[in-house]
Amino acid sequence: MNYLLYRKEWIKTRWALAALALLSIIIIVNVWITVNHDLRFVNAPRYWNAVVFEGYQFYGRWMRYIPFVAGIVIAIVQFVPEQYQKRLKITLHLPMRENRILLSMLSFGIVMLTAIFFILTALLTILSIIYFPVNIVWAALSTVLPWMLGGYAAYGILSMIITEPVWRYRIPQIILLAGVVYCFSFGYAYKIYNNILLTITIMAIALLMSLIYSGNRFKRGEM
Amino acid sequence: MDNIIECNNLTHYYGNRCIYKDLNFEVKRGSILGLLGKNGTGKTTTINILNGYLKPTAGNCKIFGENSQRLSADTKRRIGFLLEGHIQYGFMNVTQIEKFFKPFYPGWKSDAYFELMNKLKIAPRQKISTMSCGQRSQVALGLILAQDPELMILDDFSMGLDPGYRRLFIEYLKEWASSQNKTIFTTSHIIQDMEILIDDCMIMDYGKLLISMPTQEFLNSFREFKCTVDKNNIELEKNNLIRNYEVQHGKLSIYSFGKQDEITQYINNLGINHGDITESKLSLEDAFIGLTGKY
Repeated sequence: MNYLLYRKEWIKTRWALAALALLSIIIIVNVWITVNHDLRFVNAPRYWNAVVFEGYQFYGRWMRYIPFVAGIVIAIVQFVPEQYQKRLKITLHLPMRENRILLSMLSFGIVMLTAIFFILTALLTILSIIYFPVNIVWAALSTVLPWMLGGYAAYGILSMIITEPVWRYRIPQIILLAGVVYCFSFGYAYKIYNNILLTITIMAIALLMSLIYSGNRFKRGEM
Repeated sequence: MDNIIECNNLTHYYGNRCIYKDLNFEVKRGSILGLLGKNGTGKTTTINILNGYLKPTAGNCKIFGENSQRLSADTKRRIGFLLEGHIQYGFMNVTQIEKFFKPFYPGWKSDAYFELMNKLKIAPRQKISTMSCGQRSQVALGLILAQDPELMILDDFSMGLDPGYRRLFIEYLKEWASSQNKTIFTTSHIIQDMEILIDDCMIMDYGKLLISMPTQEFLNSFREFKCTVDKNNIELEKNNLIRNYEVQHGKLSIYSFGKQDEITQYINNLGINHGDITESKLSLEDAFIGLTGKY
């Protein structure tokens, strides 16, 4: 029955997903144009030197926030319509175990986020390979990866916040969201997260599961 | 199993406010039970507990023998649930929503759904969020009828509907329940609708259950006794005989399950000067207001 829930989630989120995919493409195309411009018209040797030896990040600062924006947008379009007029009650009344329903919804969001991140990563890789050596490509990808993990974590926490039935509980959850966005995005230098990659991966997975907590509180009618 | 729903010693508090204490009731297979009460007396609370969306402070409810807090997928499949306001997935259209629900229910009856949609001339691609409340109610009703559950739990099904839609809704429900021995547990603020629909009624007041009995028995035994009195400041003690009363403009109305001579004797014993006592039968709405008061 998971495919039915996936279909429902798709109907609900497809326009937002298309917009996010388009935004990702626009951002990468913009990076592409900028790199191309700087190499041709600014000072190619100096630009190359800055990227390869000084750690200048050619993909710009916007790239850092796209995963968080994607996580937040997907959480909103997926869970606000469920929480509006408490439609989640209809969903949880479907003949499946409640946690299985919540996990299906969550897995849909993860799959869609992964699709957006795949577009970003694929385009960034192609762009990097054209202009820079392989070690710079790896450095770029390993710098972007934690931001994407942060996107998953932000998605999980915001899903929890939206589904949370008690307003006062949302306040610490919002603080947690702000903290997560900060922690996963403050590092801007190449490979800055490499030593703690495993730790933040585990953190992101744990935070993704937070929907189960608020979903069960909603189910119990906590007030 | 004769009882589809069994609630035992159900108690619920919101903070310090007691909604009800030690509420016991059951709903038998094939019956249509209406839960009546003023705003805030616990109707939606009861519906939420029945569906497992609220954990009672104490006591428990069983549906098909399972605790309502932990309904299995199979049991949920046997229950049709209508949310207050006929809420459905507004982001889907008429065809999408039918396609979505259908595979969940092996006994799904598409004809029942599309018959209703055709009757109301609802276009297959019309999005639910663009529908009027009346149209939305028919989508919600059509989906529940197509699900063909053994038990329907309806939270204020008449909310926001004009008389035509309300009547249509009731006729479909009545026909569905009586022809297939289905069970319905419902609440509504429109008591006239309930009078047409329900077999049994439960009337709740703040913190307690006032009555629980077959509707016809209630209507046959509950009466209004009226007489003129010479003062407006009469105060009677509410008890098993005097369930409620009001004095307005020199007229005393007493609502009671008692007989006329019992009422006459009771008033005489209190030394109240009164005119002739007349006894009237009541509609369900009048009986409800008589029992619970106007405010």
